[in-house]
Amino acid sequence: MSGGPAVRISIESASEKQVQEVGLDGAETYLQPLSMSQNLARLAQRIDFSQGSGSEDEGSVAREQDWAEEDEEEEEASVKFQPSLWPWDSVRNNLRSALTEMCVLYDVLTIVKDKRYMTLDPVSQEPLPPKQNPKILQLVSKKKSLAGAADILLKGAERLSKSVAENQENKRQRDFNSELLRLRQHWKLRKVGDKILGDLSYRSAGSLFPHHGMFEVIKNTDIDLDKKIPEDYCPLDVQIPSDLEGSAYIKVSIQKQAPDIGDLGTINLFKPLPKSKPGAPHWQIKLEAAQNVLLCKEIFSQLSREAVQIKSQIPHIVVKNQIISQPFPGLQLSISFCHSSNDKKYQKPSEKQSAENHLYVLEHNLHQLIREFHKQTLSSSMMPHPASAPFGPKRMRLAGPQAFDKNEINSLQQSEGLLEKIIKQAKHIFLRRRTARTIDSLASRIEDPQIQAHWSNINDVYESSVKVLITSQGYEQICKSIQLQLNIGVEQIRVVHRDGRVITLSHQEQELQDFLLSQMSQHQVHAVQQLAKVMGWHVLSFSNHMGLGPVESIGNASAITVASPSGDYSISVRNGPESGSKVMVQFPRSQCKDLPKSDVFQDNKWNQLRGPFKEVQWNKMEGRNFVYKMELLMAALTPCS
Amino acid sequence: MQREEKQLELSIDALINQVADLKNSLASFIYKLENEYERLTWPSVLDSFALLSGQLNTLNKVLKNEKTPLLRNQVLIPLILTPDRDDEILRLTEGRVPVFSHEVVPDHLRTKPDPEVEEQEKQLCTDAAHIAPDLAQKQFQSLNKMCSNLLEKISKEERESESGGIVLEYGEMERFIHIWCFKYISKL
Amino acid sequence: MEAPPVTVMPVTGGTINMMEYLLQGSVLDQSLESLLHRLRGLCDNMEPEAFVDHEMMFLLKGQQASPFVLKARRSIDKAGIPWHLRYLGQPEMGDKNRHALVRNCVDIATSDNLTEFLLEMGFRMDHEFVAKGHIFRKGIMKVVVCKIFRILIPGNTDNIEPLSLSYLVELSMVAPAGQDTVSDEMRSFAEQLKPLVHLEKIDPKRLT
Repeated sequence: MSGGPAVRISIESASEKQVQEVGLDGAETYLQPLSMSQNLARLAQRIDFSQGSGSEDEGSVAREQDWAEEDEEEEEASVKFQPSLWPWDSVRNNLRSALTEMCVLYDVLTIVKDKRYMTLDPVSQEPLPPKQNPKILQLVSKKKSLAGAADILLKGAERLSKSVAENQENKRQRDFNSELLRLRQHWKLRKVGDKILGDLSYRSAGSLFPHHGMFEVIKNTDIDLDKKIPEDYCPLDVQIPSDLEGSAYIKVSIQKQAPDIGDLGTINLFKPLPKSKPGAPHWQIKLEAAQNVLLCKEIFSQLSREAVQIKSQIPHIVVKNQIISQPFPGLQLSISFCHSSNDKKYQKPSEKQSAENHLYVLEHNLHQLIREFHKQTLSSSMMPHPASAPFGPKRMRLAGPQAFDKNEINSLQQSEGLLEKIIKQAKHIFLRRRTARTIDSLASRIEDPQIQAHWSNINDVYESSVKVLITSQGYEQICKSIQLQLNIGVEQIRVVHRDGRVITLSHQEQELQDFLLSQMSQHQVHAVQQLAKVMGWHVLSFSNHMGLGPVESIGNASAITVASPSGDYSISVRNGPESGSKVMVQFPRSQCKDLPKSDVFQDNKWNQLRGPFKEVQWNKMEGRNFVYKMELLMAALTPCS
Repeated sequence: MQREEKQLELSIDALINQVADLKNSLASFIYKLENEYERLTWPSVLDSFALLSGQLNTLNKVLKNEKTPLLRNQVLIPLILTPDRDDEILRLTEGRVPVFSHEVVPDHLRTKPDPEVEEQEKQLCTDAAHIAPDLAQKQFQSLNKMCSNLLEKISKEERESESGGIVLEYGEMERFIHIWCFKYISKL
Repeated sequence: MEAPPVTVMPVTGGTINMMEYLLQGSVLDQSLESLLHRLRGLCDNMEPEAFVDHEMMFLLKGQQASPFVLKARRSIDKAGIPWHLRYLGQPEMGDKNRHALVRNCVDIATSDNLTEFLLEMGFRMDHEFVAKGHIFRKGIMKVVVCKIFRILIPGNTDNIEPLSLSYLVELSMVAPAGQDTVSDEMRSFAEQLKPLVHLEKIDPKRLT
């Protein structure tokens, strides 16, 4: 209020004008405030006339568009800079400041060098206090920067390892899917719920066996990636029904009849070789083995069903896993179903010798027969015509309309079952083997004449044939009259002789042997006949079956009498299968010394006739076989003059 | 004195050359970033950075050179300040300093670093103060050993791999070696 | 001696009562190829059998309201095959859950003079048609895909025209009475044909 002298306070209004620049002497230059018109212009520029309602003339529109474009360009220009440079923004700013510092340094140094505005003046300085060990500083700063770099690298590595793991997971999935695709190319699969089931039975091929034959496909993808993946790793696994595990085969063998039936039904098996293509995936091997087991089961069940149902003279015995029947008396055919699971206790090798007994041919034939049966059910002859008719063979449907009687229906249904077919085949195989054995034993036992057997390559399951030749060594071209064609059937052997005779032999071994022996003895006599032709001797008499002399137990003896060209000598031969050969020679009377003198003959010319017979000691004759000896004899009895 | 002056001049010349190179590479890098960012590849960016780091290294070497006198003992003294344009100066500073006046000098001659840099330096000093000298010694040794191991591994890789291997294999092997080493170092 | 009583129901004699299980559906002509392809894959492994059949429906109007229906069918493309006479009973109204149409079924093979015989017996031919298509089988199931043709001149099976632009698909099975599990098999098979053709139980009574 009152007090000393009043202080003058000057009040200045805040500066309303913007400072444009400050002069070197401190004077300020003010921006002139905008006048009314300039203000209006500035405001008007801000209005966007293109958005106005009502009439717009094109000129203003064009102008506004130009403005709008300019604005956009500016925005674009600024826009262009910011977001696209965004990742480099910080880098750029740092570089900019670094550049500024460098420029400054450069400028200072050049100015100093120029020496007009600045110089360097040496000044002594106190030694600075050792602030800190600069090394520690360096260490710390280096650590910081390394840590920063390491963080980035670690983040990147983490991302990489995550993507690699994902890739592997995907690969495993893809592996499973590609493996599933391969599986699908071989087996029928279908999806039930979330399970994948497959069918390994023969039902779609025509089998009527009631086994379901279903297997399940399992994913096997949860393995530990860090551990080493095993060699045989497969992302897919199959689970087969428990009764089809392991491997099986049907063993067919022919043995001498076992004296007792005490140990029937025993499982005697040897491990069959698993025949699978190398490189086949393990599920393929597993499924194929299971399918084989199923097929063997079907074969055996069909065989045992027939064994029980069909009536035969000697009933078939079905015990556990074996079917025993008697094709021939004294002989036993056993068919057994051998199923070996993959247990450990099976590892020891069982009897080796049973391997030789096994007839692979018959096992193969069984498989073939059952497959034919399958095909039969699917054949087009079973399909109904017209379409609404039931399935079944066409001929049976004709039975009604055509009024077949019982015999005709029986003939329609008459077809052999699996067991009968196999027994027939087994009989044939056995007969053939025995025939071959007989011929071979004869051939090895008897050297003169020789017996040759030519077996034909192409045979039937029920019939084979062999051509048997009986010849003498060295005289094959001359003495080839005994040629036999043997047709070996199921129970009989039919022999067709070269001269057209047909003889039926039974399955007895002895019959064939006897027959061949008798043929051999006949051959010798035939050989003499042929030889006589060649040597010029005359055949006086010839008989295949002599009614004279001792009775042979096998066949009949045959005999021949031949006379020399001049008629002086004659040879008489009698050959029997059992009694061997007997050769007699007739000399002219003039050469016989011990002839009783008689008054009957007046003339000397009667002395030229042949006289009594003298037996030849055949075993002392020279010559390696009968015909050779005969030839020598004939030659000896033919005078040279 | 003559000799010392001569030496001083020579060293300043060398410094000027180095700084000029550094400046130019910085400028070209910035240009590349600003204009060719679409076609930019990591290797070229890394090359530029490597170039800068190399040039800083040579600058350090020049400063450490025996022939360089102790620059600590020299002081910059401005002699004249004039508000007139000087074309000579303009030419020498490539158009950045038209006038050597009282506006330019305080800016150009300041020794105080930027605020961020000052901040970082303070942080580093406090960190460094926390470490005891013997521990620091151990850390030196381990760091040196680690770095030498790493260098050896890298050089071995380079020798054993095919031509141009190092650059191409930068992705796989080196990455994991680096990461392993860096992990170890950062745990120090 | 009295005449033996005449029963109205068909004489079954010593045979087992057979039931027919049926599911029906249809496909348009353009989808026929894909359906045949799918059936070849699903059904038993054999070539699809083609057929051309001529079917006639015979009615006997008795005292009851509903006439007695017999179907006589013969094969046109194959010679020497007996005719097929079929009686289908009323569909069994069992539980609604049964998936297929179940009817009593009697199948008889006859000789060629069936039509004269039926006419003599008092039957009257109601209608006839020609069916051409393919038969597939899967086990005991039968799948028939056929196109129905209308006969323009009665008695002449050469002058025919198709009834519609689609094919009739029938899944059927003939089994002894009492085996209801077969309908499940039929349904699972029908599921496998699902997007191509929908086979379902169609009640014939609802069509009239």
